[in-house]
Amino acid sequence: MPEVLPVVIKEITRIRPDLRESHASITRESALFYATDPDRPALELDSMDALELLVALEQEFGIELAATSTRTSDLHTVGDVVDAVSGAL
Amino acid sequence: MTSAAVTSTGATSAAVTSAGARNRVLVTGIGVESCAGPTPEELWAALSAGRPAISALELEQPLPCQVGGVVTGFDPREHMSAQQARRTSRFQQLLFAAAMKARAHAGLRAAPGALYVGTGGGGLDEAARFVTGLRRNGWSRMDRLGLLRLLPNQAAGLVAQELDIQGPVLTISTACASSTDAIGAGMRAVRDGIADVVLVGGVESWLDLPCLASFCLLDALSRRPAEQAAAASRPFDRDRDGMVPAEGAAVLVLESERSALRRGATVHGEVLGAASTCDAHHPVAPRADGATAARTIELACADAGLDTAAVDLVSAHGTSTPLNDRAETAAIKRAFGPHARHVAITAPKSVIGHACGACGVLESVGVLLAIRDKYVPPTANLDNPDPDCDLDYTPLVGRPAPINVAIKQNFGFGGQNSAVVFGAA
Repeated sequence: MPEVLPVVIKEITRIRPDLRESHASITRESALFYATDPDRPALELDSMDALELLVALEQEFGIELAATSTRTSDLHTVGDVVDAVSGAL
Repeated sequence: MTSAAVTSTGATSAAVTSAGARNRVLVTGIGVESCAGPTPEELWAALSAGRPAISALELEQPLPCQVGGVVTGFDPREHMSAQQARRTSRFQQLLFAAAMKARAHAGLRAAPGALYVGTGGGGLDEAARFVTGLRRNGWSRMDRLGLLRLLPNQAAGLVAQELDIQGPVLTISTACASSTDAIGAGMRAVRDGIADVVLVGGVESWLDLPCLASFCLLDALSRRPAEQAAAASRPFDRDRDGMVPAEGAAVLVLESERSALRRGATVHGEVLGAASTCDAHHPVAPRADGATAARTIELACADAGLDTAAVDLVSAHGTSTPLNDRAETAAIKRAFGPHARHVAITAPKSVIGHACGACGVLESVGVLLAIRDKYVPPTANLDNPDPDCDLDYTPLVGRPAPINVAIKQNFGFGGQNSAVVFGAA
């Protein structure tokens, strides 16, 4: 089973190639949508990006996040996504 | 395409202008994705030659319906981003492509003020896949984005998002009259000053197994074999046996004369009037006497400030079904009176099949180019006229004619009737 974080980062940059092109640093702490703290990195995904990310991760890991208690509204950071996927494995 | 440029005097040489002080509504851009080709000129080449663009369908399982009008070689990524292509379904992609082409054709830089789109089924083809996924795999393995690929308004929403259209963005679903109604709605928006520039479009993507099977069960589609594809759609012919389904999209840019003048836009025609009615009669069958359809034609002409005798060309709905073609003939006779025996009629579905909600705008492109070239396109496959369909449908061979005013009429399931009157540029 591949490590989750690199796969999440790979899928984020596939969905949003501009993040790869801008060499944005994507870490567990990166906010998926926006950050209330201006010093914290934010990827500025939109809800469609987030849904597409979940679809990709479900296919990649053979999991069903929709069948868990995970809600997209609970996912604020890359780390939240990693934890959700890990919890469903 | 060559058409008239608006002059500083506003003289677009239209034979007839809209009544009163209402804004004139000019057509300044055209975009097409059709089974006859991806440009207005390719569509017109097929229509004017009476050369059917119908081919054998490749289906996952045999159906009585074996032929249709397929948009071949369409690559959405030529028109939209990879992300948009990934997230959208065919009906969204076809409309998007046609809209971008229309915008470019018109040379528009600013955002249009409104968008009206007609579609019969929207993403009905996606709905079947969506439900199949649910039954087979359970809800949690359904396509998470599937709903956004099937809702009928998602095609218009996609275009609005791309072009920043912040005024009315309305999706009209009146079956086969959908995009004819969209033209009427767009015309009124420009005429009434709601917006100076409006896009009107139609789209349909229904060549998938569940859609076709459903129409087969209604016994609405032609059962001609694949090897007779080109001969399958034969409106007003004695041997017609049903609709030939087709997919496609088309978009027109409608613009006020003031805006067109300001931009120095090229004008491809004028929308003079429009009307809609309902038979209020039957889920699928038209009124046999054609009375309400005739009323639609009369109202559209009245909206244009014209007598029906001023119409030089009728672009018929002509579905190639036994009931519809007979009822439409009755409607034409009622609406035009003695002029019905003299007016030129053409049935574009003989060439491009039935694109359902898209047919109104697609066939209107043919009307605009017929007016431009002063040429009546033929009705293909009209080898043996039905004795009950005894008007001049321009069988097999087109002809030059002084066309200044033409009407596009379409009639849909549910008794939906719609007509638009066009004038010369």
